[in-house]
Amino acid sequence: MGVASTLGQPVRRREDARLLAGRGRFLDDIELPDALHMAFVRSPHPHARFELKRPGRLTFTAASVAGRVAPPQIVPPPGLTVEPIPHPVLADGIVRYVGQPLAAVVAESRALAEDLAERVEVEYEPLPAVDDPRAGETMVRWEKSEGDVAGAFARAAHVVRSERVIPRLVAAPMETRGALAAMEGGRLTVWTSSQSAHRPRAQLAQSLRMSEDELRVIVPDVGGGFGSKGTLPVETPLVAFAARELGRPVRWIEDRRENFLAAPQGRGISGVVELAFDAEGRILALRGRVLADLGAYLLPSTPIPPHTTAMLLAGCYDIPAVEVFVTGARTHKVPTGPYRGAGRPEAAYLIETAMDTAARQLGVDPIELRRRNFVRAFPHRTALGWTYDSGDFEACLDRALELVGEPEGHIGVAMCVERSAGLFEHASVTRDGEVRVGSVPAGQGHETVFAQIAADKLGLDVDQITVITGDTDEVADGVGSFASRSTAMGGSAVAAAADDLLAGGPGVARFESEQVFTSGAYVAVVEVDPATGAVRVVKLVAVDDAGRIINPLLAEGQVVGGAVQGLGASLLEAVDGAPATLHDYSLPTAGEIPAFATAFLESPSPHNPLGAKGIGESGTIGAPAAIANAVAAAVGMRLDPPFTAEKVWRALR
Amino acid sequence: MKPAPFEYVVAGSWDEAVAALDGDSRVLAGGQSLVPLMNQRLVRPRRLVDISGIPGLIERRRGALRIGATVRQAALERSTLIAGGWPLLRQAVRHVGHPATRARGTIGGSVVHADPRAELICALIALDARFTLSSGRAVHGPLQLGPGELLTAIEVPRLQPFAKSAFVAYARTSGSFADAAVAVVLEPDRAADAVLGAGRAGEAEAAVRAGASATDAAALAADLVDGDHHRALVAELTRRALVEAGHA
Amino acid sequence: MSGWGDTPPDLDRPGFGTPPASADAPRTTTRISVRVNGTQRHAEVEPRTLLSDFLRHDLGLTGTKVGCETGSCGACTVQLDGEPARACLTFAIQVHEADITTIEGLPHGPLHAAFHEHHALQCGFCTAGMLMTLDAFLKTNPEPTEDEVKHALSGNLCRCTGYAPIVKAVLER
Repeated sequence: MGVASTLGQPVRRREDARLLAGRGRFLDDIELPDALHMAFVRSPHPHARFELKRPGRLTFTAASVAGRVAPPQIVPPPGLTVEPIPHPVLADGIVRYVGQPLAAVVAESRALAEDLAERVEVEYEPLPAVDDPRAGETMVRWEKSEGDVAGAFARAAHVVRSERVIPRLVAAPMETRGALAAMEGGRLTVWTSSQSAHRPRAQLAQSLRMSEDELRVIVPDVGGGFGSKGTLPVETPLVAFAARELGRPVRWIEDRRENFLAAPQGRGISGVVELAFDAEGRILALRGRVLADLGAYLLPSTPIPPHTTAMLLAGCYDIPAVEVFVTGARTHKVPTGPYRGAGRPEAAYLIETAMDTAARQLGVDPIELRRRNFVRAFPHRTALGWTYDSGDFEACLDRALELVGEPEGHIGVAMCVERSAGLFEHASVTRDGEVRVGSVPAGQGHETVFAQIAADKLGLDVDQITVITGDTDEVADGVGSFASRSTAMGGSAVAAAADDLLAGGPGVARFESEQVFTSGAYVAVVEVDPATGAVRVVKLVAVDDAGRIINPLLAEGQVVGGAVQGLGASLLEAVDGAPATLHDYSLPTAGEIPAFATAFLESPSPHNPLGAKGIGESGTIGAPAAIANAVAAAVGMRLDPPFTAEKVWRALR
Repeated sequence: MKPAPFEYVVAGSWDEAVAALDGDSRVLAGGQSLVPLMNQRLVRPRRLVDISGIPGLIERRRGALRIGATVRQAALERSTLIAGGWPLLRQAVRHVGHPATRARGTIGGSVVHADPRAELICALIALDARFTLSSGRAVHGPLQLGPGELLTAIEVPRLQPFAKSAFVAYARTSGSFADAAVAVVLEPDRAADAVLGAGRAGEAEAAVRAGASATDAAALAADLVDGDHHRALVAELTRRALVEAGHA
Repeated sequence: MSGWGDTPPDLDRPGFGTPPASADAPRTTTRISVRVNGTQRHAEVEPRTLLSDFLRHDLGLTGTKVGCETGSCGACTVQLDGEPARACLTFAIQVHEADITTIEGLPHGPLHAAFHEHHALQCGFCTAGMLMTLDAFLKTNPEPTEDEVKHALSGNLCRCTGYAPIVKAVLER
């Protein structure tokens, strides 16, 4: 053997060669000569009754697929009360958001399919639409209380109240979603741009009333997901159904307009946090109210972000008593779902802005106020019920303050907590270095990280390992890649499978673990131009403790990439009406990025053999809260994102 | 997002282009404004008349600058004639889209498309440009094409010795459409101040000539636009442009 | 209501799904000849066929990606007669007798190596457009400043990397 372990080394990615040469194979790169293209007729109204006039023989409608394609089941997180309002495959008589599919057509090319779709005659009768979630009916409800909250507020020396709003955001991966389906040897193969292979298979089996054995799901290269590809598009079962019915492959590649209108959006919450402090500035209790704008229907993942928001409201602080209510409201908008962070950025924004507000009200330095309240002993079971496995919040903060130095501009500090991992992941490993994992990459670098882990165990060179993901015929079982779980769960499954092989077993493992909790400290330095209100983020410092880092180069890539998404959410992004293009909804460009300083601390997780935690979301969690606090310091008052020039300029007047 | 079907005609000359146009056709030059609209089916001409093959030159004629309508924006950016004699155009064109759109997009396309956010129009207005049309007409100021009329060239008068100019824009992201922009040309006996989407700021120009401060003149320019933040942007950008062009 | 599912449609009929011709402008194709990555290619194209679709689906050069079809994202950037161009904003019929380079025709060089070294790509969907833009940019400006690189890149969106590693890769190639 004698091959040195690469764990902890910045191994360059084995994915890069094919992608740099243009040889990546993404969904729309798969040519099936016979494939038909599907296009959808989508509602132009947020709420309307409609009638399809003389739908053609080749038009799929709710009526024509009734009883043959079922909407997905809603399985809410434990403890949530949920009204079962699933997203219909195709709208039946009433549309409830702009972009909702109500009919589908197929043709020999996408252009022809669009020609056909625009010829489908629909008569709409617009109905009043609910835009404000405060006026929407309740679809999701959850509450939790622990400790003597009323008593704590009664005896508090200070009570601080903070009310904040985060608008809806669009994940906007550069590759949109889509599906390609074909009957192959009596079975149905579905290629999908997804963060999972096994979950879509289960859902398609349920939707199409097929057994999982009759289905093969293949996930090719994925051009970014950010949570938005963790939910099976409602269109996909119809694509699969059409391929089965027609006996010809059917392809639907979502275009950018469809991605804006019909892909699940993120965030869209408002929240109130009340903190009771004693005279020394220690938090005695927290009250939280979270209202989520869930949109028109529940996707299977829709209830998750508001629940996570609530469960993480205590942040990195030791708060003995809590009382939190969550309401998810129905509006006439596209459903929400997980978007990078999925509740974590919302929670960090609510608690970290409340801490700065509290510091101002109490006359204490915001950094000092945080120090007084940090959780310091691990494992720590929060009053809300999750258990932080390991960490050192103060060390993260100290390191971040070191890295920021003596900046010019206004600074804002925010801590972050990233729930990651949980559930299970499946892997198998062979003697000659073939690794199969249920995790499904969307650009993070799974092939490299899993190869590092397997090579370390087997005493092989990284280049001798082959990693296979994203094919239900190749990989026996799996969950997928979301909630920053791939290294901790997929990686640990690879390690466990290799251990099994080395112990004389078949080299198969199903690794299960509790959730693990990454933490971090972020500092933003901003400049505000008082004449125009323009905000420029000059520097971002990110110090993350994600347990043991397998590949620091890739981990830093996740942090910086996430932080720039967070920068977009802070300065530019918000769904206003129904954006349809990247002109309507601006993403950050290279021109807006700040200088970065990043570092990692490593408090290993006790829950997996690698000591690893997740790092995929921390940038989107910590950066927006830090930027918000910096902008508040610069402007002298609290604003909610995005901090557009106009909004800041008004605040300065 | 695919365009609706259309018929495609190549015009080798302005006469051919005019002959090929009818009420239901559109001119295709660089396509950088038109094709996004066609892809979204917001515009669906029955016929496209491609004029991009009609030669266009950047040349000096009797001291003035003459730019053929089909000249690509990237050519403006690279032209030493323009950099030397009319640097404002070079400054402005660098705010138009991105390198890959400037390589295809034409100056004539920008002018005729007449998006109120078109940076090149703002600069051309500050430079007192004249638009030459296929009908033989020449137009100063806002361009209104008649039926069957095409923009064939743009003429920009010679600047006086010691002229200074500046183009300042504010956009949310680098290279996106500007929310506000200002083009300023200061010559010994002339001051021009054009505001994106709003034309020339005559009162501000008069104030500059009368020796008003950049801040005071800028406040007058801001009166051209609506909305208090928009006015604040225009005032600040005008002030910066005046200072950059040497007016205190 | 729709009668879908009762009568199997004649899906093998050529032009299946084609709407009645009377409703449309004349549907004709034109033969074009174009040099792509050094090889002369000939094809019949409809006027409305975008260069991006022509390259990907008619020529099988799928390295060029499509991200928005409004010219905003830059994923489809190719080099057209040596200049960067949005393939989604150009009709294939316009490139008759032109010379096109796509990512497949860009020789591996120091820029590719620097992207690999600095982890300047994650999902890789924007990468072809980035490289085609940068290759053209660096030919005219081989020693750019950081701000010049950011400006040159601002028409190419990346949702993964946060751009910083890309800028670094260009400066340290």
